[in-house]
Amino acid sequence: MSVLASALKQEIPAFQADDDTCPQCKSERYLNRPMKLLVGPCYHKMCEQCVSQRFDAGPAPCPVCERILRKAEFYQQIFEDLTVENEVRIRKRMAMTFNKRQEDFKQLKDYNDYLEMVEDITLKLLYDDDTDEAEYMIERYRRENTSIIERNQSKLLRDETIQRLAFDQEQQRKLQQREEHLRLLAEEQREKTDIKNSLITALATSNMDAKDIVKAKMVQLKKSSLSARNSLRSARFNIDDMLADMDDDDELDEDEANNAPFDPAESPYEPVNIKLLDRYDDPKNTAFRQGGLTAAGVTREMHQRYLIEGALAGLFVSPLEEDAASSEEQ
Amino acid sequence: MASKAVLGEEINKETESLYKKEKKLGEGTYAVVYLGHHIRTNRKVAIKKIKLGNMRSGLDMSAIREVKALRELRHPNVIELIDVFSHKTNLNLVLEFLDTDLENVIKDKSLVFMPADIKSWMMMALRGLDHCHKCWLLHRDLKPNNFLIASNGQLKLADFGLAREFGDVKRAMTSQTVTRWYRAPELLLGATNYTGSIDIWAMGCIFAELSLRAPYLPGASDLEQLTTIFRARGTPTEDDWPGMLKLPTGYNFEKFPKPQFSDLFRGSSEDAVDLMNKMLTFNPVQRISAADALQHPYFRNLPRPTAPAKLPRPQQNIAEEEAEAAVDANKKRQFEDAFDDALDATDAGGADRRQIVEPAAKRMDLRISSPA
Amino acid sequence: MADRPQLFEQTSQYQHWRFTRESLSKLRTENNRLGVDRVLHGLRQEAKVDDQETSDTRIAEATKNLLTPEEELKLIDFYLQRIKIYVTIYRASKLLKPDALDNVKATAINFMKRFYLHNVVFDYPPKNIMLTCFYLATKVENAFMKIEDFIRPLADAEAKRGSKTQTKSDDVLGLEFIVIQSLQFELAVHHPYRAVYGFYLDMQTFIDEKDALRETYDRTAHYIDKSLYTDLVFHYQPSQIALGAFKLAAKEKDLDIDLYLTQRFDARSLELLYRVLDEIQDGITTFAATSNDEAKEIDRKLILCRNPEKNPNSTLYKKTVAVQGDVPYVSDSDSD
Repeated sequence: MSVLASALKQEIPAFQADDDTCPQCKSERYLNRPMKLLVGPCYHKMCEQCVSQRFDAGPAPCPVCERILRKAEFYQQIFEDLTVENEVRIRKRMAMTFNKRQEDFKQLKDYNDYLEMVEDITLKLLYDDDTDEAEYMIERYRRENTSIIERNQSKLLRDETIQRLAFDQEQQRKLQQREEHLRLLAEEQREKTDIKNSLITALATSNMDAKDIVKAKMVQLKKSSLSARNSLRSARFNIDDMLADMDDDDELDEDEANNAPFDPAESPYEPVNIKLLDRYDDPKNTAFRQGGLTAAGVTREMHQRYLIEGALAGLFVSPLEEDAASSEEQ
Repeated sequence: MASKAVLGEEINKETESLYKKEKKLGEGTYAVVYLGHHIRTNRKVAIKKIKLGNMRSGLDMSAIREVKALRELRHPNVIELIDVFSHKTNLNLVLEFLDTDLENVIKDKSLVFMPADIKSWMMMALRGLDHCHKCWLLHRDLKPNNFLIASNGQLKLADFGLAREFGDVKRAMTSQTVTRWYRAPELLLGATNYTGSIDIWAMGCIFAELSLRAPYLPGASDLEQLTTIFRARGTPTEDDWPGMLKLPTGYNFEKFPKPQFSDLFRGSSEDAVDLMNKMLTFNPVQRISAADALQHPYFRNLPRPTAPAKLPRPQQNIAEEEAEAAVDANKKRQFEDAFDDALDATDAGGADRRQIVEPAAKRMDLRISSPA
Repeated sequence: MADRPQLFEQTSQYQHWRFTRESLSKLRTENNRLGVDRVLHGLRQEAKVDDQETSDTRIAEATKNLLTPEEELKLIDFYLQRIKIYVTIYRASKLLKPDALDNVKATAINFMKRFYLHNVVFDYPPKNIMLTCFYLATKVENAFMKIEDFIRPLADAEAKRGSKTQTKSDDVLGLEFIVIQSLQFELAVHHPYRAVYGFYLDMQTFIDEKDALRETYDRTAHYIDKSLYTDLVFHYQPSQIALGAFKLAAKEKDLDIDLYLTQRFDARSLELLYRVLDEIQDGITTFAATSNDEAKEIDRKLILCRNPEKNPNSTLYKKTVAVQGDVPYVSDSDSD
């Protein structure tokens, strides 16, 4: 995929090692290919099941360092080096608030000062040094610069849009090129057949020697536009490239689906639970005497359940009242 | 509608006027299927027009069974019958539009199945089936191409042309039902009253087929089907299956040994093979039910079933213009979403659930049911 | 109170075919009124294509003999009762298996009752509709027989009587569409039979007198049968009607089923249930079937006020067919 496309999609594969093991439950990736190891802010790892188990109910201490953590603070690791991972996260976060651009400043010096200030705060967070103060500064900056932050965010959005449109236009262009290419191909085919046909006709009707006829045709051909097109084609349109660019990936958020508790037997309806007696008196029912029914899976119990469910279904439904009738719609 | 003084014919005409047919999607001996939409909500629908010249005794049984069954079922994993109307002497079923089915998915060799994908399909299929069985309805024609798949990945049971109530032991039923490869042994032995276990047998075959990417028990003829089954699963003894010989066409069969299932299903996990075996138990009384199957550890163990929207789907035909436009519009939306994601992702931790609305697949081979 | 719906709540019977007594009555009255308008309109249309004197007489006769909603109901009821006779005919000729009989009968009756909630006898006389409802019921209740097989016993009986009319396949099949349209394609009907058998079993948890219970259960069939002709099916659930029938039978056989009810269900539910059961028992015992004479009289009136637009034997119908070239039974594959 092109760099532009992936940048636009923010798609980066997660880091995984073949011999990953969850330090908590000890399950290994070897036995469980899709296992996801998540990393908390304190750099400690856990597989998603353990995270779910531990933090579903609310904040809890990290099993290793006992720092109080929330489930939302766990992420999939992107970079092999956890320090890099940490840094990237922090910088991403900073960029959301500190999003001034060069054009926001009258002087280059002011811009540089700004950058230095941001870096100072960032380093504080990175090295876990005086984080309270850092947070305070971030918050203060945010409060003081709310409108600029917002404005720059929408600028970013707009730039994105423009980039996207350019990208789309590029796609369009490629599409058209491809269509043109196909059209030319088709025309070429047609010309070839025409030539072949006229050659055949000439051979059939003319008195000249076959060799001469063909030679004459060949000369004609060389002069025609056909050859011109052939050379053009050497600057090949790579269809595969174009198709690859039009590739459609849907990368949804897996965490959401996987961490939610789920019930395989989920049903929109109220379940029915009937307790049956061990035996019922039912002398008129001769169906079970031969044994052919049970062999096919039809048991007395199933039959009884069927009947008693029928007896209890809707037993306590009250008949429609007059008011309900008037509001009844089609 | 029921309490308004409107003539039967008028109700029908009004229903018919709500839907507009767009183009033909497919045709079979039994019905023609059109793509259409509701004129007011624009909801996409499939209109199955059932031809009635076939049966000289008026309304065809298959159509009646299908209408009767679908009208009574409402479940996320059962195809929705939205409306019915008759036009001249055709019966039109307005169904929700589903663009592909499990058979297409299995046959599309460009798709790779993960165990989580198979689990997801099985779970949705069993949920739909469990619902039918809870309503005391047998499907009686389960096979991959009767599991339709929506654009959001949801799998739905379809084609109820052979469906029938069960539970009343006094009514005789035909044993000539279900497509051969998926037919349960008790049917092959001529049982004239049976239960949901015949559907579960079919599910077991489908489970195996998803794992193998090929039909599991493809018998060459009705007579051979039993042999095929016994060869693959071993011949059951009277102990395995008490009363087996009491069934109408039970006789002494050639004895095949029981093979090691894990050999063939090497790519499947142990719990999957266990569930499969429980679904393919000979004795229908011991064969697992749909409800119990959903409680089997297979569904609770990792991996989690793939979210339906992320399940593999057959490829689209890229050359179609319409699909292109839809894809482009969709991608624009995705880019916007991706950007929003980046903004939210860092702190919140839980990004909104994305529901990517897939554009309609262009390969419109909607299967038409034909009576068995 | 459960948050999720119960399974029976998704059935079409529960969702679309329940009424209050008032709305049912209003529906029939309104249908009748509109039906009468159509008859007069039809007669006027016919007057245009027929000679003056005949038309005038016809219109005069019709106006004098227009059926009231009550008369319509009585006539329909008469033909509902005749379904029982047909059931025996088909059982005798072995075309209907004994275990299918109850369901076919009950479904046919129900179809016909529902049909006339969206139609009037002026357009579709019950004599014809009954056969189609019956045939449709055999299909719906898994007791299908070919149309030729269905017609044969009828033709035989007619021949034996020396009857002038002969029922043909088209008579039955030709109405299939209008019937199924009027049913709004909702074909699954639930009857009290399953429930009453279920109660017979369930009562054994609290009732020890096995013989009395069995005899009572056998007697419930009589009351359930009676209930089929009433409007009870439009007001109550099959399980409730079953229990109502059980109560009536138990009274006869001197069996106390309150012993079961009070131990099985909680007091609050019982409050509603007892009220419902009283109403049901009342509905069954006060039902009065239409007599032969009554029916004959109403039928005679109907001949005079049938809607010519829908009557294949009327001058208007024949003229319209000739003009439009409308053939009743064509299967078109691609016409749309």
